[in-house]
Amino acid sequence: MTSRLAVEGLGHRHAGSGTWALRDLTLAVEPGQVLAVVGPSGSGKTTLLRLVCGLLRPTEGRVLLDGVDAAAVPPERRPVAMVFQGYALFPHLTVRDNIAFGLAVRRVPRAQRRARVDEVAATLRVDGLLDRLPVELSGGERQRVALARALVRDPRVFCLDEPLSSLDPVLRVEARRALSALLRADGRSAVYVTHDQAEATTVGDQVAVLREGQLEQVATPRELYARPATSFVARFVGTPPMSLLPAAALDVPARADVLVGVRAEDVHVGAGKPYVVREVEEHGHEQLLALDVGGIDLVARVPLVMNVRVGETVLAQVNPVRIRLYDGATGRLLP
Amino acid sequence: MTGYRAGLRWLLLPWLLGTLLLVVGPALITAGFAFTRYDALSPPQLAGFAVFRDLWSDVEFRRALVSTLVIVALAVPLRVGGGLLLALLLHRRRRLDAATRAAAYAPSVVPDVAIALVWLWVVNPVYGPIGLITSAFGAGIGAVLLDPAGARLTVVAISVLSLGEGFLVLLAARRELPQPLYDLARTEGAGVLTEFRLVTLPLLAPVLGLLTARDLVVSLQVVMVPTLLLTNGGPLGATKTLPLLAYERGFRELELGDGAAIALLLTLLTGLVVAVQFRLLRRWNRAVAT
Amino acid sequence: MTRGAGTAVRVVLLVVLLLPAALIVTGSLRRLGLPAPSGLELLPADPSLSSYRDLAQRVPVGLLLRNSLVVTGIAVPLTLLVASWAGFALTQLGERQRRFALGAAITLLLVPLPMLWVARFVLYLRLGLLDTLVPLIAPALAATTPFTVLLAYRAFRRIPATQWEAARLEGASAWQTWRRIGLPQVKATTTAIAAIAFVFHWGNYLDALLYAQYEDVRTLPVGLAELIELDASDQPVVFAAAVLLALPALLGLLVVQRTLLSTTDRAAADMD
Repeated sequence: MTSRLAVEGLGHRHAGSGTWALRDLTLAVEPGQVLAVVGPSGSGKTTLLRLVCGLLRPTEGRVLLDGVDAAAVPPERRPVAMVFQGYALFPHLTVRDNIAFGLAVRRVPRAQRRARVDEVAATLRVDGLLDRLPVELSGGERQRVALARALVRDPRVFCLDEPLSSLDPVLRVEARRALSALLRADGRSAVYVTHDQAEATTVGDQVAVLREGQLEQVATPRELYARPATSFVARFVGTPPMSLLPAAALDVPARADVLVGVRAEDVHVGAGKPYVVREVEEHGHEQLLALDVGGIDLVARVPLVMNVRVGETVLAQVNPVRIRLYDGATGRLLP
Repeated sequence: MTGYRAGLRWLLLPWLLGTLLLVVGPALITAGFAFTRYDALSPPQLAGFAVFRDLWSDVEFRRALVSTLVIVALAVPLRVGGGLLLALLLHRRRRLDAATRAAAYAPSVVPDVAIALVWLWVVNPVYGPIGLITSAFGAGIGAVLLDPAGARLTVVAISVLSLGEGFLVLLAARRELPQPLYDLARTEGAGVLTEFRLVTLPLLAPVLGLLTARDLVVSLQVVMVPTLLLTNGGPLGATKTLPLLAYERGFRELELGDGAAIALLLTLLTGLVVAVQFRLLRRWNRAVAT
Repeated sequence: MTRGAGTAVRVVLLVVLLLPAALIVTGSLRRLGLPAPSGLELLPADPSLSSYRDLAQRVPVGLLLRNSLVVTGIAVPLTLLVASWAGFALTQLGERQRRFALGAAITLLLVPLPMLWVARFVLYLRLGLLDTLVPLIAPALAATTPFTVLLAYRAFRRIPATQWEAARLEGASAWQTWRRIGLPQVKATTTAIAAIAFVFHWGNYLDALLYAQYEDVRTLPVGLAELIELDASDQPVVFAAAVLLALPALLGLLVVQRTLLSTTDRAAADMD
């Protein structure tokens, strides 16, 4: 089976500055799958989207849509729809005209246009807003209108650039659920860009982590959490992220420059060696303790009932089976 | 991709072609004509630098050069300074500001022929306002436009009154200066003058520089038609600026080569002043920065 | 400076600038044939439109007006299109092309007009366009002044670039994006450009003087300039001519006043 979307050795260099925004990227998205792309700002996420939808031309490598090289296909003819950061709704057009814009410029007959807009608007529950202007909408409504505008052309691939970033936290959870279902419906695929790793791991079937234009790792959320391929991913993914400590500090038998990665839940408090508690952070039913290990924090997840205060000494040990070892020089996961 | 970008180029094309055909092309071709003698009837004859040698020994040209320098030297500082003063005075949203802004800009939209018609009345010694005011003090004036100094001052006054373009540019520039800088200056106890010297002037300097350069051209342009109609360059060539002389030679006497040569000299002179001015501005910028 | 002093300065400025204008308008209403007033006369005792009637007898106002309207009627829309298209394209072309074009526009502001006269004359002569209205309309092809292009560019640049990209992904051509997305969002600036173009072409005497002196193609400024030779006792007629010529341009000023000169300039340009 050919992938819905694949990029091979994809790279893009800024014409002006000559710096690479994206370099040698190879990824694939299968039908019905969502690929979440996550990374700090400047990591090349948005550049990837713009290459996929055709707003930018690759400097090297290819974009394949259903197995076909898209280089010769102009953006408006790619089966790709984009939801821009901030949504880019046209402020002077009503919701109906915003959704119908693509149909109008393609000279789709008026009756057909109306029918299609009504259908899509109903799907996204914006059918009551069709005569309003974007300024009269709430953030969540704007997001749904932007999705409707993308959906109206019946794309095979959705490109979404931070689709939830302008929503408040409560709306965000609800919108994320609705989005998850919509993006996978009818065998569609999506590339979902966000800077929020928690959002990426909830939405994506696969998550790609980018850093300075390079792919650090692409994996399922579970794999990404359990086996971060690099120390960068280890520090970036998970709440809290992995603690990374020199092997010697934890008495792990390894080369001196090896870093040991430990998830907070793999630190057992109550037995082992004594450590001073540097910080306590409560999270609902649990709390996170930062233990001082030779000046570096080792974060442990413990139940709220355990009564610990800053400055106290507790006994703790790490589960030796669940630790990950990283090469101190390259940051790569050691086998 | 190509479709949309090609479309953008098509949209840019009319302006590029129009500019090439009507501005860049003519400027280059006029520079070529400057080295010829041409009367529009027989083909142009190459004369080389002889045209310029003749101009240099031409008393009328020398007088025009002096008149131009005098008028520009008086008009440009007054125009730019006046525009700056008005922009700083009227940039806020206060009562009467909108009306005063419009009034200050108004002379710049009045067609230059109408300006000439109005000034005909203004300088009339019998019932023009200047005549009325001076005679109320028992002094009275003669025919202003027949006196070389009076005529020159009239031309300068006309130029200064049409400072609208510069005023507009400075108004926009002043509004883009960040308010926090002024708030900061206030909290540091800076007075109006200190604020002007340390905040406004340095930040507006690039705009002022460009505007002064442009004004070398515009200050002469806006008085061209009124001068032509009011004094025709007189008396005794006191108001015959280089543009006026270029028009006279080229289009009244059909010495198009001469007209082109005068235009070229005017352009070179402008370019020279602009170059010197920008060099000074850069040095001043460095001095302020360090 | 205190508030009171500031207001006083404004009032003085307003009076200095507006009083002459008022005197000219009222002066044009003075009945013809009366001796000149002996002092400042704010309003003639017996206002009449006789000076305007007299003006219509001295110059062919109908013909002049028709020519002026033809020139502005073509040149203003043409300027709008040329400037708006160029400004729009400049927001989206590559960095290098944009820098070049904007730099050129600013450099062109520094070229003295006489530098263009001789070659333009020869151009129109060769094309057989001397003594037609074409030389009066032609400047619109170059957007009348580079200022209009810079204004249009600034207005379009305020619209987020993602809107152009969104339109383009939806299949809109550059022209459709300009027409349906760009233009409706910069109405205030478009009106200001139209006003600037109108003011220039309505009052354009110089180009007529240089290239179009034939009787039938005279425009209003050309026809009224002939009144300069008038006898001084016909002052009301001179005033009438000035009013006739200045009034439409001053109406143009009202348009500019509401956008370019207004404190809500940026907000207005964003909103409409």
